Amino acid sequence: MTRYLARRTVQAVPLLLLMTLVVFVLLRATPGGPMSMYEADPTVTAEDLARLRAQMGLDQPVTIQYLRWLGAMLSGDWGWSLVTKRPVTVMILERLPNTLVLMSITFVATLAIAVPIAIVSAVRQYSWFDHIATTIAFAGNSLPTFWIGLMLIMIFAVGLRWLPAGGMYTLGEPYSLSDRLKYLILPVTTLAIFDATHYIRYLRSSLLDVIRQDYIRVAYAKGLDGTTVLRRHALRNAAIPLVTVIAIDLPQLFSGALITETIFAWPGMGRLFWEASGRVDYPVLMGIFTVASTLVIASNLLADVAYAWLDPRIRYR
Amino acid sequence: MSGQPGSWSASEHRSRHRLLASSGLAAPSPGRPIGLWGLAWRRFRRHRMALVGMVILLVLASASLLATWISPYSPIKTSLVEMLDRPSPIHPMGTDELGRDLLTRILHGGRVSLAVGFLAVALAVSIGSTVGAIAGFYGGWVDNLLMRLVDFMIALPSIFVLILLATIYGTNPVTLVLVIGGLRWMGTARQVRGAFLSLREREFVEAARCLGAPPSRIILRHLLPNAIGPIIVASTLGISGAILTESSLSYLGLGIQPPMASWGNMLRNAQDQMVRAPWTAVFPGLMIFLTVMAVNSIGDGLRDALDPRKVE
Repeated sequence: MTRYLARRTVQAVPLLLLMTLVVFVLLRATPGGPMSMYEADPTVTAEDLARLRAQMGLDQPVTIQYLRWLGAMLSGDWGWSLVTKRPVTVMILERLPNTLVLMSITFVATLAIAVPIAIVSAVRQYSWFDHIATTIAFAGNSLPTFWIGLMLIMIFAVGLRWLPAGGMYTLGEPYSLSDRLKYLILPVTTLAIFDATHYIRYLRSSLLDVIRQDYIRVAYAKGLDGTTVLRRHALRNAAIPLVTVIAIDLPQLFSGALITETIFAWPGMGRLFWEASGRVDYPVLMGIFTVASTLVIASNLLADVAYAWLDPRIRYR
Repeated sequence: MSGQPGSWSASEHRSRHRLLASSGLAAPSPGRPIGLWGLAWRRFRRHRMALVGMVILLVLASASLLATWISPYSPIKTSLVEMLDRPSPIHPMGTDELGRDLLTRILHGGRVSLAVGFLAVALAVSIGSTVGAIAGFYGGWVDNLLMRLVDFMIALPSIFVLILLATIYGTNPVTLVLVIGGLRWMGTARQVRGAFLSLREREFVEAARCLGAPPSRIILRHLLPNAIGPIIVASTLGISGAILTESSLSYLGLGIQPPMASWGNMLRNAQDQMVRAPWTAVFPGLMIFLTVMAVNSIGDGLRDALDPRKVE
């Protein structure tokens, strides 16, 4: 297992390098960028421009620029934002925890909603509960995230005035958990509605497959009660395809988070990326992309580990 | 089997096989023969949600196509005296902040959203099938290389790349199709590869090879028709994903640009006045929801209709 993990980690490195290289090249092709400010200024001469370009290393070929960026990044220097003139690492570290809080609470909430519903739905297949659950799951799967967010704001923030429409905490008030939670409810609900419907559909159908297997009948024949059979035999096997779905969905989770952060003015990494892309802020964009890719690759690795835990037949070499 | 050995296609072979397996008939019915598609249609018809979805989609698509003739209003011309009018008999969905009829804009926006969705998926399916077919048919290092490419594309946090590409290559419908289609083909590639890997070992492929059929003929006439079911299902479901992506990008201000209407950018505009004029935020979103749900239910219906393992 340890060797397997080590090998996978080593394999992940070229993948990560390739990803950052592709985005680096893409960014260099983006119109705007650090020079556009000076190019638009008529008092800056052509020589000044050339000097500036040389100073910033922009006169070098892209490969050299990339290698320089990589070297600097590995030694902890992620550069400075072209817009705010602050270190990229500081900017990301300010925002990353907010995104992680939003994503992890959403993840827990999603599972807390989806797993019980899927279980009841599968165990009582074709009952009224199952019909309602599958219909809602089907409909929810077709809702655009940002529209759910807008509607929730319209109903609960603007109409009923129960919850704040955006932000992360009340300005000027001392820190309190209840205040934080109030600001979390709408963004988390927005994301969880979409994700939960997805998971319900998967878990229900994989549970239905599992329940019909012989080993489930054997478990019942041994005299185990329904809960034990479900918990120890059915759920554990049905969870394997769900883990795949969750791992595959993870990059998608970022896109949901980015959109949700934009709607609810949540000061997270996605929103930072969106702001930075409007201003073509190279170093910030590269930094966020590197962090996001690393997270995705790491979680894929985590999913592989989870397989082994769920299914002892899977052996890693 | 009928005909000369060289002429029976794989799809004929399978449809006959499936007819026997799934219709419960001991022998092919003596009357009019039902092909693969006839059988699929017969099953599809029984899927009520899928039929409803198909009707909704057809109505939406034709209303959008005929928008110019159906609606007396212009989707772009503004009218200052009719700003943010409530839904009324004259403006069934009300007007927006510039006095434009919302229904008209929704129909025109539907053209863009549907066209981008369909074309992006068409592109994605072409890329995906080609990559998957080559990888599955040739195997070996070709397969290895192409599948590493697929892994790479899947691991890419696509929203960031989408945003970057939209900023670089501008935001007209054509580039949107290229960008969305170019980032959504991996699922099809994996599926086609998987199908090809198992199909290429089958006897009818061996027979074709013995008869001297070139790879292109084996791929196009024998392998692809047998893998078409899952491709159709995946691409149908892909359309709804592509429509959602387009509307999200337009909502973020990176997709279709005003004054051209798209459901996503209409919602972006609606944000500023949804307190005073909720209808501007409700209707475009409802249209996305309806369309995506219609496409999804068609996809579900097709899945049941084309599933070879399904026994009635």
